[in-house]
Amino acid sequence: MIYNQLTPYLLVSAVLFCAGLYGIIERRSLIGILIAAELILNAANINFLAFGRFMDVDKAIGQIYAIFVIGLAAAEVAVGLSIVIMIHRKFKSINVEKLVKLKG
Amino acid sequence: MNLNLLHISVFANFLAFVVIVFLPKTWVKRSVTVAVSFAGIGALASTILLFRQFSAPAPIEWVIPWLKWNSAQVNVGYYLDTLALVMLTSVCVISFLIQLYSVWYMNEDPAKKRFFGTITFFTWAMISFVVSVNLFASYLFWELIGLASYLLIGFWHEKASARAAAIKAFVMTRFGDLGFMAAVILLIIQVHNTDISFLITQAGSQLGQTQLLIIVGLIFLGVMGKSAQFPLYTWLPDAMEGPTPVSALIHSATMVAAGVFLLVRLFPLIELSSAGMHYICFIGGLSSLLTAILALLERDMKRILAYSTCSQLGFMVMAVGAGTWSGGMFHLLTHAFFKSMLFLLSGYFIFASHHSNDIFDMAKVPLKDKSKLMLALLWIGALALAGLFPLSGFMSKENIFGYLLEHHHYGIYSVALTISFLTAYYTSRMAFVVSRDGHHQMEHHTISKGLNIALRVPVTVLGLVTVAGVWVFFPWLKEFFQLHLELNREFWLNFGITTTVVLTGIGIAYLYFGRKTFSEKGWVGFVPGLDFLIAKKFYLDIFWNAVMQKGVYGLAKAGFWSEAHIVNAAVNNVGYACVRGGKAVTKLQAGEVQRYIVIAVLVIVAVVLYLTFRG
Repeated sequence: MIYNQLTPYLLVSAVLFCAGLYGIIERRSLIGILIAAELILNAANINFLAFGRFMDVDKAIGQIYAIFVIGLAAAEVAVGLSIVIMIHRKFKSINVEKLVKLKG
Repeated sequence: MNLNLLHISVFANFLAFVVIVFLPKTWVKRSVTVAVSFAGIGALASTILLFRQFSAPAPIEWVIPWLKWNSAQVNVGYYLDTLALVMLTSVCVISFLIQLYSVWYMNEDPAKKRFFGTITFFTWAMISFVVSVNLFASYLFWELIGLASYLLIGFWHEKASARAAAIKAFVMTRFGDLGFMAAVILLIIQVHNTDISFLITQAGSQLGQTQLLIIVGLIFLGVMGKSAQFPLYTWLPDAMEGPTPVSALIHSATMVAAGVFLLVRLFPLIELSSAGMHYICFIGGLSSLLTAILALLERDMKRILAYSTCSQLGFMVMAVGAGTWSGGMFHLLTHAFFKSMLFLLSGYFIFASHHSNDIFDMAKVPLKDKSKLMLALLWIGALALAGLFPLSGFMSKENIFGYLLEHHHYGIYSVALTISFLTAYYTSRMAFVVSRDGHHQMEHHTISKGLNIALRVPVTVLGLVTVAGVWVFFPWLKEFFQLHLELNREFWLNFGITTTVVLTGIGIAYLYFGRKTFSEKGWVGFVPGLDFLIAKKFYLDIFWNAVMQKGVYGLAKAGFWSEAHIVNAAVNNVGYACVRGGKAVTKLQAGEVQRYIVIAVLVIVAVVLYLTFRG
């Protein structure tokens, strides 16, 4: 059965990762970038769980890592959103193409 | 003891120089006293040394190691054999007498202190050159001599002509010095040793004939510059812009003497290259002849003497090239004394004719306004220069003639006779014209008693040496210089020929200049084209001007072009490349976060690919 193989999980996770990467590169809005970053984190989560399930290791390890990543993602969103709010206050915009103050 | 005397005679002048440099500006008289007394001490010490050391079997050697390359060693110190000793003494004595004379001559010059400081420095450089143990050290002093003469020729630097003459002298002699420097470097590379004693004994056997010829040619290039040989002699007549004592010093024992002395010093080495010897002989004869011709029409007394110096130096070089170092050296010595005397006398006559160098102006001064002593000495000097018995010039010239005859160099002999004839003619022309009785009334100069001593003593001493010096020291000189003066048939034949030639020269000069009516040009005016050539100075000045202006200036222009278009362009383009590269790279720093991410991702991908496919 397809559920008992590693490859489909990895494929799904790769697609998810690419979608996230595309989102980070292409989205103009900071919020969109944050959401895309969430996609990448979840792609990583799927990888952890899949490898934990199919590799010859303790099954708990993958799941514990997944829970950590979920917690980390929550914290990251909290910090990221507050930064976005500060940027919006300062620049009246959250369009990254306009935030180019650090150019050389 | 002898070493101490040598120290004194070498460093007396240097000490005077140092003391004068550090004396306060206003102590002008004291600086004169210092210079003259130190030079006197040096002259005394060197004279004592001459008597003590002359017949000593071994030379004084006193050596301090100085520089060291891989296998080459350069020493400084003394190498004083009889040759150097004779030269040392004459330099010290003549320089002292000239400084004494300068007390009178420079009496009213405000820059006396600078004058005496430089002249003592000059003397020291020359002495050190003479006694130096190593050719490399000799070269350094050789350059110092050039520097000092530059300073002295341009002593009256307010005059544009003096500045030009000084620069000309410096540049022309530098031309030759390059050759000398190259020769020293070659010697260091080839034989790893430039000690004089090594060069004159062993170096010749370690060098091939071609190498030897190159080295001799390069050394002779230095001699051509310093001793004013064709085609580099043009600086010497112009050097007359300096004060007269300086001319006397440059033309007798220092500067120009350095070149001939170097030839004589390295004679055992130079002798081994027969092609080099022929070359030296040819150049010497040519310069001697050309400059003697140039003197025929000259009106400036100092320039006549300058040309005669060139001519006599050429004579010495020719003698050395013909194979008799002793002939050249002996003539150098006798010439040093009577030529310095003649220059000092010219200083007096210029003074007596109210600062005109023209001999025909001197002729206008009434005879009673010219000192009888000075006129007598002038005739002694002129006849010695002409080479008339029994004066010192006769001895040294006769020695060379005797050698040439003995070794069957008849071609050179006839050239030497021609030179001798011309010399006799133009020197006695000068003496006849200067000692004429004129009617031009001028106010009479008086010279105070003390200054009179400073004026008369040096010239009298030099005159005595010219008349009697050679006879007093005859046994010594004969032994050391191996004079060709045996009283045999050849000697009398030679004596007859040369004396006839000299007397003919004097007689012709008398016909044109000694009688009541006299012409200015003499017989030279009747030779078609000759006075034109003399007026143009054989086009040599024009030639050198062209070389300097076109050649050197062109070279400078080419250098400037390559500087602008190659060196600068290279440096500038490196700069432009950096700027452009930097601008290109700053585009990466657009400040756009997403572009950074793209780059980061691409780098990660590249790294992963590399790590994956590495093996």
